[in-house]
Amino acid sequence: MELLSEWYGIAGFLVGMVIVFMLLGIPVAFAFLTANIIGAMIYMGGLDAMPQIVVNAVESVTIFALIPVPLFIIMGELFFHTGLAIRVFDALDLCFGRLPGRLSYITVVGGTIFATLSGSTMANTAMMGSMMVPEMTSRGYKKHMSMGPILGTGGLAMIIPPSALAVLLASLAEIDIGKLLIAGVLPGLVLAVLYSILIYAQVKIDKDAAPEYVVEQTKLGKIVWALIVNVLPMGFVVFCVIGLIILGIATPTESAGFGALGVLILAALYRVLSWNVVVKSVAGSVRVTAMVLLIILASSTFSQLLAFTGASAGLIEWATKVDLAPIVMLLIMFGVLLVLGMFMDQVSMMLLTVPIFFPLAGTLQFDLIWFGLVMLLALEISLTTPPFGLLLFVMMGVAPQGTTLWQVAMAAAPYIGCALIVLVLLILFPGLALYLPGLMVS
Amino acid sequence: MKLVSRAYDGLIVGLAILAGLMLVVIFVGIIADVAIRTVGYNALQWYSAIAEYCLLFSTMLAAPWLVRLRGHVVVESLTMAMPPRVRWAMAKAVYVLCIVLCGLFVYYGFVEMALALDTGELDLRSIDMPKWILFIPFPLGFTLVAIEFGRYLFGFGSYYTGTVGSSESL
Repeated sequence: MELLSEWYGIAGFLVGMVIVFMLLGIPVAFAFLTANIIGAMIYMGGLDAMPQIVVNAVESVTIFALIPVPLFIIMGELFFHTGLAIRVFDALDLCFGRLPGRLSYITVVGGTIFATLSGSTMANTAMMGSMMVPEMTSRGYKKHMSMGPILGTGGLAMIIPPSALAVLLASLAEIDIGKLLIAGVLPGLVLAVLYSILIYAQVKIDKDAAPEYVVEQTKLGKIVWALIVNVLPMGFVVFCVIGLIILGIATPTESAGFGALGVLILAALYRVLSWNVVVKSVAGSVRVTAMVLLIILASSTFSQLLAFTGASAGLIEWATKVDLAPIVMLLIMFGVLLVLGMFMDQVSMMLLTVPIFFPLAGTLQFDLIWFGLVMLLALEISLTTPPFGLLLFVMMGVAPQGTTLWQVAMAAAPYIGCALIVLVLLILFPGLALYLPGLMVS
Repeated sequence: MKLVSRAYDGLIVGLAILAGLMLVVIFVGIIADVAIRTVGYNALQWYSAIAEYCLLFSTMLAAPWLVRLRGHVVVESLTMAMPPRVRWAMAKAVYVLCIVLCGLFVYYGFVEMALALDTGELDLRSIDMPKWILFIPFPLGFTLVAIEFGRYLFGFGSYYTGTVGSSESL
């Protein structure tokens, strides 16, 4: 029992409860609620703490900083349901000629454009998977060439704005949302370039991995026209989100609203906007928004418990006393996220670790925007780590029959390597994340 | 009985539609707010408070519908490995736990609402709102969530889909 009064015992008990409850199959939101109530009973005066838990829950989601979350989700849903995504791929298809591994490159370029237009990793992966995997399979692409780029590029949506997860992270960690969103632009693009280099190397090593096939020659004029009509207008939406924030014209909330409006305007101009599309998009947005916000609401007392019991303060005191280099502490936190990601969804991981990691990062004098981006990178990687990385299962849902989880995980492995290279680059050159936020007009 | 069942289903879907309309209000409101400011008028002072309330209300109003759609994230990696009878018993225990938790939130939601009504406390935001309004969605939403888990408890299918990953996430 004495152990439960020490900071490490309390922290282990609280975090352990949530993890065990989740593993027992209790829906994540209810696992947090159970742990909070038990924790409050033990450390905050029994059932007397219940009114406080209710008030915390109510206050946790009535925060203006969370408004971009549903707006980014609406934007992504509209983008997919209107079919604008398919137009981008059709145009890109004309650009790559007979380049070996062309479909893999198209996936990376198209997926990166997707990531600038949609904030949902899951939706991006499912969409690209259902669109590109059958085509690549029929062209004789090996599994690592077809599924790998989709798994890698799908995760970019988490880093490149608009990222609903970045908004949540910044809101929970109480750091500048706009800066964290913008900090993801350059590392995301570097990651996309590394993915392309990886595909080039994979095709060089094994030409049969992505067999060449006859592609109808397209005139340059037709290619340019397709890009102008189908890809360039997407830049308008990207500007609505990224440009308006950097120029200081709009707050992240306003830019999220304009991003969604931009997609609506484009859909109307392309004549693909219908009542059916709007209803589907709103229904999809309600599903994801309510699911995420209920978890936030349910976990609201968790960080308070950690603070109230002295677990957070104890950890920080330990971290300042222990003779470990900040980089080692960073790698430990990164490792913890990767392990949690093996069996937990990204929102739960954030809610469990933000109250512990961000105060620690502050004590270690890390730039918190930079640290937020490192955390997003870890969350992205953990989506594709076996045995339970969520993207692996999204891919299993669209992969050809007979595909094993091992094959999907192996296809993702080199792309995890690329993300780790970006982590090293971020450590060596923090400006990679902090340069663009530094240009932001306040 | 059939009529009651249909009315109840209509309520669950109706509240989800209301939740969707609230997201539309958030979206339209932000555009209108910026547009009005751009043409030189004062910002919509009430917008941020209403949008914040919409976040809470839409979450709680859609929560029962999400239980029905099995839309709340659940980790099934361990339970899938359990023998079928143990898995069945675990599922029933989880439904009971969720119903008890909902009961606590219904009760304490009412308590807080009654207290706020009694004291006439105000919720100070961009516009002042009576604080009791903030607690309305708890008794309503959690009661319906409890009923939805009750349906699973008494045999209306299972909340568990038997797949490891959820495609409904960010």
